[in-house]
Amino acid sequence: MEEMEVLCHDSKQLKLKFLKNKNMMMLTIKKYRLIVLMIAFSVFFTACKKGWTDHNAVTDPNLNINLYQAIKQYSGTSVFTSLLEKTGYDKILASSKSYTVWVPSDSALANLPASITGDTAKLKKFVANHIANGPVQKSDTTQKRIPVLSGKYINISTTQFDSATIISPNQYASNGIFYKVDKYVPVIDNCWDWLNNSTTVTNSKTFLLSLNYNYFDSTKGVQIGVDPNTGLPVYQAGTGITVRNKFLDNVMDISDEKSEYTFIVLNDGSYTTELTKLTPWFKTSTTDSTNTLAGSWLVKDLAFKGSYSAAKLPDTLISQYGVKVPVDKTKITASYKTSNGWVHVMSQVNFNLTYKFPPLIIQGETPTSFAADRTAQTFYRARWDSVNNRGFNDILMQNYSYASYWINYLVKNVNSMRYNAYWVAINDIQTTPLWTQRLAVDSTTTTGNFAYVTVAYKNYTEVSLGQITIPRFKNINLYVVGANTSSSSGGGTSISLDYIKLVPAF
Amino acid sequence: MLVPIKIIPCVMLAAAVFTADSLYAQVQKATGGKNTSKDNSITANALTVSGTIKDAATGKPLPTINISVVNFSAALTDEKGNFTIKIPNKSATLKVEGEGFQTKEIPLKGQKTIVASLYEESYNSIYDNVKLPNGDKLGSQTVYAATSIYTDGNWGRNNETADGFLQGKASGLNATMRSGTPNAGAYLALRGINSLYANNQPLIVVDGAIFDINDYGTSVIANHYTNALATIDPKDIENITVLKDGSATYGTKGANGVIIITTNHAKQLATKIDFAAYAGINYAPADLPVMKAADYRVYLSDVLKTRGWTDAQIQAQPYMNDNTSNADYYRYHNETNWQDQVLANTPTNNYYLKVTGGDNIAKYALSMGYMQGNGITKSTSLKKYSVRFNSDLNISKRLTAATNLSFTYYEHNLKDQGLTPKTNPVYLALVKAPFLPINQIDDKGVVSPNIADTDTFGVSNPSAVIANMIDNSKSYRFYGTVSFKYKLTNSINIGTLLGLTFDKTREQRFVPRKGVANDTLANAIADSRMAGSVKRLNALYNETYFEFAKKYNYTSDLNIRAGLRFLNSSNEQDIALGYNSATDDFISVGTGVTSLRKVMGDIGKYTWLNYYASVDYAFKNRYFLSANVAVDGSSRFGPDAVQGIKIGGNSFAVMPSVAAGWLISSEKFLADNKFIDVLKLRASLSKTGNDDIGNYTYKQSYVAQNLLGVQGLVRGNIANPALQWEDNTKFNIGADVAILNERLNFSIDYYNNKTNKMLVFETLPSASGFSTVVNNSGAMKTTGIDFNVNARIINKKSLKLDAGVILMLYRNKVTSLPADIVTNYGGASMLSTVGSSGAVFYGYQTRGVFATDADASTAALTKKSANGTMVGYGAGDVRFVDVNGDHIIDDKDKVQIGNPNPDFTGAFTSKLTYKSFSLDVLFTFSKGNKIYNGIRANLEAQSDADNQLLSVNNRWRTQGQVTNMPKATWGDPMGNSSFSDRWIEDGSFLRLKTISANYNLPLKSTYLVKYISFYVTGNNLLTFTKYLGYDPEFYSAETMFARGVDVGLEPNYKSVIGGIRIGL
Repeated sequence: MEEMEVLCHDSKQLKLKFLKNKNMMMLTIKKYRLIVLMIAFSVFFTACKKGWTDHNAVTDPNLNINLYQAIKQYSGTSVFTSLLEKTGYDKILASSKSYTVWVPSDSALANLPASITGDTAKLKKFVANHIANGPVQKSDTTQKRIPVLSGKYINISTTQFDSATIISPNQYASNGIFYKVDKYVPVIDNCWDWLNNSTTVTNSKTFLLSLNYNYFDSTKGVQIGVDPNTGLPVYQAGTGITVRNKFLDNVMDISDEKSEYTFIVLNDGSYTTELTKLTPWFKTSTTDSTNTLAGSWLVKDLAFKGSYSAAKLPDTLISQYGVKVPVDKTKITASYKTSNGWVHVMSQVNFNLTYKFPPLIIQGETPTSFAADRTAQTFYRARWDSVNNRGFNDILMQNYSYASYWINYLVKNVNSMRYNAYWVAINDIQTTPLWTQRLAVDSTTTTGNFAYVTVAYKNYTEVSLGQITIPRFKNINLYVVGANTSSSSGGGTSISLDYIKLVPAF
Repeated sequence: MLVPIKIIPCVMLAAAVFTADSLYAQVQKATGGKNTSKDNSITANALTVSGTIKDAATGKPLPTINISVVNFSAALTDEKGNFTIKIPNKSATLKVEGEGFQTKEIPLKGQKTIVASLYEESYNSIYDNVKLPNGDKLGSQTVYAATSIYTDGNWGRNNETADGFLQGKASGLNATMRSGTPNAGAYLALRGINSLYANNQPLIVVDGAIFDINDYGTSVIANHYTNALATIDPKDIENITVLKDGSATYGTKGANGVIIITTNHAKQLATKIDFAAYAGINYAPADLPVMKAADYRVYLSDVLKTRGWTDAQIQAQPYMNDNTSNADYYRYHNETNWQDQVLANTPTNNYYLKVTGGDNIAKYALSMGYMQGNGITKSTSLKKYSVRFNSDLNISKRLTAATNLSFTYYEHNLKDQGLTPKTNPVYLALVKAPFLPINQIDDKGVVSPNIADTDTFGVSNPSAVIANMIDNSKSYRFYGTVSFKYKLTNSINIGTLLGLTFDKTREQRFVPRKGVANDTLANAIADSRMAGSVKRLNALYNETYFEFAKKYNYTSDLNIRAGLRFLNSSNEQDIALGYNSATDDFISVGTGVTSLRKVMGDIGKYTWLNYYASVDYAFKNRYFLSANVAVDGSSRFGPDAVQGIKIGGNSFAVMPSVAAGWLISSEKFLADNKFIDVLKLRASLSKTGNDDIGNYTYKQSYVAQNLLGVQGLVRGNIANPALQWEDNTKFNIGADVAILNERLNFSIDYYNNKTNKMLVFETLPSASGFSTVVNNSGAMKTTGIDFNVNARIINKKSLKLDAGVILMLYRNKVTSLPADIVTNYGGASMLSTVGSSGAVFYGYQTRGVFATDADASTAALTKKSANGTMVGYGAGDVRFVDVNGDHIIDDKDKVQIGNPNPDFTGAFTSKLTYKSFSLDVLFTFSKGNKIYNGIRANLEAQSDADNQLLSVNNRWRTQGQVTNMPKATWGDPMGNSSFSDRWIEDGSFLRLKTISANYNLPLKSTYLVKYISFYVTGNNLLTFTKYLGYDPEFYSAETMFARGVDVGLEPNYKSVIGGIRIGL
């Protein structure tokens, strides 16, 4: 005799003894017994539950409640729970998306300032500053800076949420995870907002904000029609205009929350000092434009990638323009932590002028114009300098049959200062005859300081050409002028140029 | 279950020895006593015996019952049920027959007065006629394990195909419903498995000729099976005999047993008209518990987080934006139950008319059927028309003829099934995001009548597949046999039978571009897809035979039959594929882009020749001996086959068999026994074969090959001229018992089938240029026990209750293979290796999920990532079992994780008759078979944006969480959803397959209407199972390697059908 376990998924599994052996069957079958058996079968089976109920049963009580309920139930989180309810985030945490919440403990929130609790908008942002989309695992070391619902980004580690330390990790609910932390993380300004809200640094602020401009953003404009003539969209007047800033556009977007920055702001006195230093080299027709140019030149090297607190500042920072900025920590008058890095207010920054004003190098192979079309006689070469072991590109013109032929180079934004001029002009093709050529500034005919210079055979070194003074901050035209003869016999009239170098002579 | 198996063979063996000895002794005695037998018969002439025949239910005497001693004497009972009849000797056997009653044999055993009782004709009796290849035999006299099923018109269960009808009807026959698709029928397996690569279904013989049930070629409709047995209406079937051994005369076609189907012929000359009409409802299955929009969105935000998208990218998705003024809001904030969109309750109806009658010269049975039924998948339907004309002709006194002509045509509108994730509507309904709408929605939330297109996740719209995709199959089969029999002398007949099969299936498929995800071809993107296919099967069958039957001295019967069978079969399939028609209105292949059109096909022809001879000898109706031999030739056999004989350069298989039976209950020493009615021991040993080795496999073939734009032919295989049939040796020992005045009948059989020369695709060294060669280098064996019992529990005139149990079990074991075989199907891996059952699930073992990183680093398991580096498992990953201890989870850690073979299967049947009311109940069950739930594996994979099961809510979320559901990770880099024991489920089930109630309206016999019956039948009303899919019963594909792999076919469904039957 054997027992056959009847298939049933009820936890209280009944067992039905089914007599299978023929002899037993013969002895035990009596009238109606099988009927009773079958009725018992039916009743018993209909009592069974479907296997799915067991398989799908959420056995973990945590998964039966949503994040809001889980936080509410958790001990020592009642203050934050009430804040959630007050701001409506309880409904968001109960909704069908997953979140991660860093819940400041009751004791941490005990001293929450009234400036936050009293202002609904601020409070909302404060609560949102502790909530992130999707599950954020404590063990996940690939994420160091995560976006939270306030729009800010928060630095996290396996133990920290910004400056707060995780006390109870890995609490979970059906739609996310929460951590209990020992501090709250207030919503603070980013570097740019700090400047906007600053009341202490007038000069820097005034100048940087003066770089604001209006920009039409078509994605934000309300389209009201299409111009029948051009086919272009027509936007409702006054829409789509946004304010942008040239500093943020061109130097560094320190309003960006995703990354971290260190922003040095010069205090009013030092801003004036530094600006005064720079103005002679930005002489223009108006004082305003001079100040704007000099100011731009000043601030372009004051924003850096990476977050450096005052204690962690190195002695030299390198701006994205390659300018070495020496940092004298004793000159820091104040430091501010922002949501995306640090702002340091300094009373002095001693720029190294050789870095601030690097030499101007004009490559020979990038001419602006020519005296005449001599395409067939123009060679843009890639050659090897066997003396200095470097490859170089240059321009070489031969047999162009044109007296005082010239090649023009436009050099933009040349400071109003004195420059020593050098060139590298290479003749690696003929020992004889050697040709002559000269440099000219703003005019091909005025000889000025520059006389004809013979281009020696295989001279790869810089040749000093003389000095030039630029009276005003402007664009200048440089010319390389060939010999004043139209004869082209034997390559005696040629022009070559690797580069021209203008080195500031302060 | 292991214990009984081991004990039973010992008992059986002992019995076999005993039987054989006594048989031998009896034969000796018989020959020794030959001289005196004549005297016996002379004195016997004076012998008479008298007795009374009663009704078994009421105990009242039965008049006009025919009593006979075959070929000797006959008598009728009088009104008191008494009779007197002459008998040839004291040990003769009386045959008792009567209109409306069972046929019975009564061995006299020296008794002078007989009291016997008869059950009604439909009683499931051990004496029932069995239709064997050599002719009819009473069940009490057969030496084979054969089950004879009288369908009795099958009026209650009218919605079945012939194969589905066989469920729970015969022990040893495992009929597994392929799917719930109408017409799909059941996969038939007689006594387990005999082959890995060759056919495992029994040979079907209908009206004397071989009925080819193979689905040749491939369907252009995904996972569609064209079931030839669906062309036989079960209402046309008179008898089905399931022959588990004794199939040796069919030679190399008999390895899997034989099912002999006999269709209705007219029994009476009077004209009889039966008409039946039915209508019913098919019920869509219960929804699988997939996530609703809220849970799904939480899952989605979890899984997208692991995709490498930034928070901003995720929040920018329209479905994450809950602002109602957002333009996409209404398109991504819905709650759609997609399963409701594809599954529905549908109506079904059918009509049937049968006319029988005739005269002395010709009798006919004409039947016509029409059925119309919709599947539970929306917009699927089946229309079937069938007609049959059977006749019996007495052409002359000696020459008789019979015809069985049938024609069935059906039109089937289908949908893709199985793992076709872009076009299977049911699968799509499970994975489609629930927040998406069915129809297009504009920015203001106004719903358009147009169906929404493929969604942002690249998932097709199930409603588009339902509405606009075409999967259409039209099929017909003409199947006819004509037979002639000439009576040469009283003991000699010669006969011939001609069978013809014409079968054609035409399929059309169209996948629209709108709403269905694109496919990628080798050199194009396929938006709309068209396909057409035509399949043909023509078969010619002939059997010509010589029969000799004689009785000697009324003590011994000799039957000899010899003949030859010939089968010529050819099949052809032509497929055309087209892509990218101009618009979704152009649906035929020709409208596709010319350069993408593809045409292919398949052709197969073979001839089979079978010479057979069989001798049946019965002595004193107690001792039975049968010996057969078949000599088989086939165009499929290689000329250098190792086994068999050579005739004219061809290989012929020689298949002998011998069987013996001893009817112990007819022995004199049991004469006084009133307890045992029938006790018969049987044993058989036979050699059969399986010729399903491919039509041209042994030959050398060439295939077309393109190299740098140059076309040429290259070798396609390595020829194996020694390729032969699979050799199958069957040993069977069994007993048939009836006791307590036939109130309790049972049979038990033990069998042992050994397959030698089993077909194997042997792996070749790569230097050969081929991956495999086909060889007869495997072997397997299957042993098992079949048991069935039928009991009349209540036997009153107006109240009768029958109950029966069928129980069968088998154990399969591969005994020889050149190398382990690992096959993949539907996401599952199967291992066939020596010492275990063929094709068992082979994958990783799991032990839950790592709760913390600390747990994971303690286990220190690693996995080779896609770029070749070793990656450690972390918290939330599945803890796979590192079987070989090398801390690397790879193929070497795979083990056998489940056996798709059941521990046992069977059925409970019960029939309750109360006056004019009757109730039939059939339960089927399977115990211990394992199923790979491929659908659940996809719905718990957590690797993409597909909707998941509710169980995924239990997924690992954070450190320390103890759960068995791993974390959601996009792309599943750690293989958490690999084929493992996570998806292996217990497929055991107990199912109320059918419950059918019938009420016969009592009518006075003078009415024109002979009878009116009402039926109500419920199918699959109750299923008890732990299995988590739609349904635990399915057969995904016609191969060993697909067993137990749930790829998501249409599930079996509940249905209720009511009908009326009228007889005129």
